[in-house]
Amino acid sequence: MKNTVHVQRAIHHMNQTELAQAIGVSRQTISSIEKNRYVPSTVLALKMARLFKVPVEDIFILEESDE
Amino acid sequence: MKGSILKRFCELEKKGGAFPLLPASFLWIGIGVCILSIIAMTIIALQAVDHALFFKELCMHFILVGLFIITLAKDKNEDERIKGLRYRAFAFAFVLGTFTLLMMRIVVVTVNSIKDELPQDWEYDQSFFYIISSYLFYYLMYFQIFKKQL
Repeated sequence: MKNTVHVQRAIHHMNQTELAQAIGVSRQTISSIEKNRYVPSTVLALKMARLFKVPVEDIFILEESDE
Repeated sequence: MKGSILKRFCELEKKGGAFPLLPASFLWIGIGVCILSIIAMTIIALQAVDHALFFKELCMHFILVGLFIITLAKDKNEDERIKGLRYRAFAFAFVLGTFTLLMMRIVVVTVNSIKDELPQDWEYDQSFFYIISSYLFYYLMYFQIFKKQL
């Protein structure tokens, strides 16, 4: 699964620390998500979607290898 | 009644509240306990102390207590990723620890049998049996509970 967290972050002029504080996780977790090392829970994905005001599917995209 | 207590426990666990983790500051308490125990062991080894063996084993026990406190202390940034990593580490520790302990015994017996020094009985340490059986029993119990309730 790939994601566009760093793109959404750039659109909203947020750095990793600000995003982490806004959704209640550590900066390292945001970094891991952006590097595709960690897939967040549904709750965290929905928090991000609500914060960026976009559907979850716009942030997290399934790849062929996930099917 | 029994079902409702189990259900409440599982609901609490689902929210991450049933597993007892200590505040992050306990990391330093655990490290302190370990260091003090090692210092005490060194002093016991260097000085002629009455009941040296007893105190040495007491210190070793406190090193384990310190390590256990460190294990249960929360990370500075305890979030869902850290919780996931913690549970994975627990799983690896459980499986590898149990495997190592079980294999150690088999290797010792095999080596002894090759040297033709096979003991009359299995020479099973009771505490060893209780530790391993309790780990495995707790694992099976919680796995079945979570499978039914979560």
